[in-house]
Amino acid sequence: MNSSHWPPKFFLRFFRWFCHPKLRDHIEGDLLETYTEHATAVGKRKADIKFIIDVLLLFRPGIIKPVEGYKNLNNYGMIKSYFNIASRVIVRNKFHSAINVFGLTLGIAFALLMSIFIYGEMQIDQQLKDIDRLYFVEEKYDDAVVGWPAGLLTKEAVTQYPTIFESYYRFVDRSVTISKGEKHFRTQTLIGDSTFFKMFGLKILNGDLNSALTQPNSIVITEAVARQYFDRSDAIGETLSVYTERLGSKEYKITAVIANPQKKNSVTDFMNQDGNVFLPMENLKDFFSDYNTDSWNVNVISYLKLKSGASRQQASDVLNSLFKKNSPSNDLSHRSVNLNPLKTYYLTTNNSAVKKLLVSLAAIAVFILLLAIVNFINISIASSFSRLKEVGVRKVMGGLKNQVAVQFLCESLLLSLISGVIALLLYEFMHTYFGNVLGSPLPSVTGFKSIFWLVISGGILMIGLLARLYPSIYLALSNPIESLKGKFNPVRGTIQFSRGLISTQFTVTLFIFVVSIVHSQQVNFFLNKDLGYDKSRVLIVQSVPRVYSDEGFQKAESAKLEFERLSCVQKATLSWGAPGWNLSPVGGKIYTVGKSPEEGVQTDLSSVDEDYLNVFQIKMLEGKFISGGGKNYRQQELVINETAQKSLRVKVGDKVKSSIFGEFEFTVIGVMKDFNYESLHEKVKPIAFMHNRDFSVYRYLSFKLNNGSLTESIQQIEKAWKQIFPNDPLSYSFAEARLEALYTTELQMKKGSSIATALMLLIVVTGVLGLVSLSVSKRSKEIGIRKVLGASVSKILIMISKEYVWLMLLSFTLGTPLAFWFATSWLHGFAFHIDLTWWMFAVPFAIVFVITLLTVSLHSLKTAVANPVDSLRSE
Amino acid sequence: MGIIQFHDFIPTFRKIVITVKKYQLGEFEEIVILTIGVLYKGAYGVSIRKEIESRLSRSVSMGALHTALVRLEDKGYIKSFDGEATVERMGRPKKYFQITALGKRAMEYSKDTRNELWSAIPKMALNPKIVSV
Repeated sequence: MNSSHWPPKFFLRFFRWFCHPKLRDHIEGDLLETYTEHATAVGKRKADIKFIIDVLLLFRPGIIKPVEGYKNLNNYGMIKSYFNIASRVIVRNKFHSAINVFGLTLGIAFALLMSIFIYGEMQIDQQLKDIDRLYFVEEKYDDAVVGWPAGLLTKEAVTQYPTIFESYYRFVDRSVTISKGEKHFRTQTLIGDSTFFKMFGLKILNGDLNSALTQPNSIVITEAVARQYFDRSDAIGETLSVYTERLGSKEYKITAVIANPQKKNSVTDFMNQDGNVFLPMENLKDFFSDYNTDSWNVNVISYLKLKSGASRQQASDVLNSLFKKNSPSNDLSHRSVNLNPLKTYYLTTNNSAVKKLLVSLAAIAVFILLLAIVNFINISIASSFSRLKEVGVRKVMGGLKNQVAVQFLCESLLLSLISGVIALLLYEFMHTYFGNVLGSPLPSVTGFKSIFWLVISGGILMIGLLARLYPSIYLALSNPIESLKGKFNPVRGTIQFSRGLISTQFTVTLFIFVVSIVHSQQVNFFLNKDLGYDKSRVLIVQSVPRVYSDEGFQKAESAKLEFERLSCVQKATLSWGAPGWNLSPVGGKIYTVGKSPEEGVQTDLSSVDEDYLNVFQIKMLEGKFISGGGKNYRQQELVINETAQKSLRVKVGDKVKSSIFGEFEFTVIGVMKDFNYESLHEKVKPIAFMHNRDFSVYRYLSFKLNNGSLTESIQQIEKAWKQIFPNDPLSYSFAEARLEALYTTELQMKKGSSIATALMLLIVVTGVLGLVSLSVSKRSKEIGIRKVLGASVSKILIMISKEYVWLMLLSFTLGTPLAFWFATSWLHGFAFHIDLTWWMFAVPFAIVFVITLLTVSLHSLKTAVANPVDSLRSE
Repeated sequence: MGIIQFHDFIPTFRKIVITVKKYQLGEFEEIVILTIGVLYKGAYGVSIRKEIESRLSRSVSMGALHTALVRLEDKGYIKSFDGEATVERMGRPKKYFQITALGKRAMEYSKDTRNELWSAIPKMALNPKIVSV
């Protein structure tokens, strides 16, 4: 080429400088081609000018190289390729991908449900203001919590030690009927101090919280109650008539409406009572003639708030010295006051029942996730054989070890991502159902906090990484020459590792299975054990209007007689409590006359009437039950239970005294057979019964219903109720349902563990399925040869299953002692418990064994019956 | 190992935007892509320029043409492959362009919308007498 045909060097260089390198060569080619053409056609000068114009017009965005640089500074392309290959591999191995996704989805969804539930339970009470400084005050006898402290204790503590204590709150709860016009509802009411709202930081909607409960005859309600009566939340200035036990119906003025408190909490929902209405302490006299909470003799539910900076120890010391100085109790060396932090109260109350439930559910969720991950690992290891050539090719082409590892990690990340998304969808569909099962509503996916999303995505990433870490490293380390030759020398220990994982899976599954069976047997035992009384067809009505005066009591008694006339009612009884239902309001020491109170026995005391025995079908051992009615009725008679008789060592006819009643003497007229009036977590305690009339108190009206339709009976009672108590709603429960409520956490656990067992079985079986299909496809030639040489189908099936049989036997020998030890120590926590029997271990093993073998044989059957020609033929 | 930078995602992002906005084809881009179609296998910078200049008798600068080509390629309407290096080009390779399936759809879409518009015009509107009144 003639040098005279070269375009102006400067502009060419300029062009080469600014142009994007990807475009440079061919645009330059275009420029030069045009230039050459022009130069020959119209001469060099004109061509030069045209060239310059072209170059200048090329100087525009899109052609100019980017300022940030143009080289591929990252492996975006490589990353894209990782995911491309990964998705192809996933699609190619549909069966195994499906097994992996299935297991992981179940695992993640279950773990998600459990962790959201656990999170919700942990959040209970945490919304209360200054939760770190709030304490629940308990009175202890030796090491056992026996009840609430004296009413004056917390009040005195705050007035005398203002540097340590900030405020106190005490309340007495009443279930009352509140009416407005024709609307009557039974509502749990807390009659308490005016410090309430400020102390717990409850949110106010209308009114002034500081003065809300300071005036007598004022009433504070929650938004829910306001809507119930007025269909709006702003109900300030309205009045509600409350049916008080002493004064009958009385008007109270609404001074504030508060936002609905958290569904579960340890203040308004203390002991699941769900308090929605709040009255000032001054109005306690409307309910009780003689109940002074500012006294050292009366025990009241009390809360304390410490000053910030005050230590619990310091506060506890001060409280105890105050208690010892003032308490009239005569066994002060045994008694003490304890500050129980409200922060952990919900979890630790009732012998840490909730905490135990949460820990077990968390453990189960982790186990299930682990099982799913183990499936993943096992299938990856087993299928790595078929990928070995690919790894070899990658390495030969210059792939680095970590690139190969990343390739495999990408696959598992993609799988866990898919599973995560499906699991979230599953959660969205299942959360209402599980909320019902677990007894607390779970939020929808859209209600998740950002922190949840962070944890969930982190968790999914973690699972993806964990599941493939081992196989990917192990594949990355494989020798390319060996793998390309098709020789597969498994890294030493891989098969053992994989077998170890399977036996761990089996062990965990068997363990959970056994524990779940033992657990549900124990719960069934709770619900079906002969409790010493008959709980069937017993209806307990809670909403009898409570007027605690002679007149009110008579009215209640005549109402009882009216109900007894109904054809569906066999017998009715008025009592303070019912079995499993707060039977005893008070307890004190009972001692035989002539002995000192210290020698007495702590005995619960309850009041009943003469028909109690008939309604609940409790048997008498000796003597007679409290006699009812008119002339036969004598005061100062006691009936005790067997336990009380044994520990008191009294006979029928002996005279005893009670620390509650001072110098009054009571005659023991009868001994009842023991019945479990509390939950079966505890042994039967000594209890004594007196007649309602001795106190003129009653709370529940219980009916023993005749055989016949329950709905009809209830309708009949409802009809009669409307005539007898027109101003009170009827609220009732069956004794059997109430009994279940005693075992809420156990029932939750039972449901949780049976679902978990089913899930685990599913995951393990799919895992085994995946492994078997891989090993069968790997061994199809071997099976063909065996068949040619005369092996029968059953022999081949046995050969394939043998491995799993050994693994299961190993897991059984490992898992059984573990489960035995765990179940024994768990059962020892209950006063009444079942005995472990052999079938509780044998049945789970048999089920796992049969299901696994069925899976293995069914899947390998196809290969075993196949014509060996197909597998042996080489193409 | 490098860091993924934002501009690496711009092409992908653009693709997404384009599919959302359906087919976007500028006037000049349309001419270019049509010309690529006309030239079939011989479409590279110089030939496209010449074709447009001769057919539409308008001058096309190298800059405008190449910008349009880059945009079309980014949108995925055309794809390119390296061709031979000739003496006139002083050894620089040619880059040939070809219409992709997406590009074909974009062209059809553009043509259809035009036809639709044409057929929607009332005949009266094109009557010069009435227009002039």
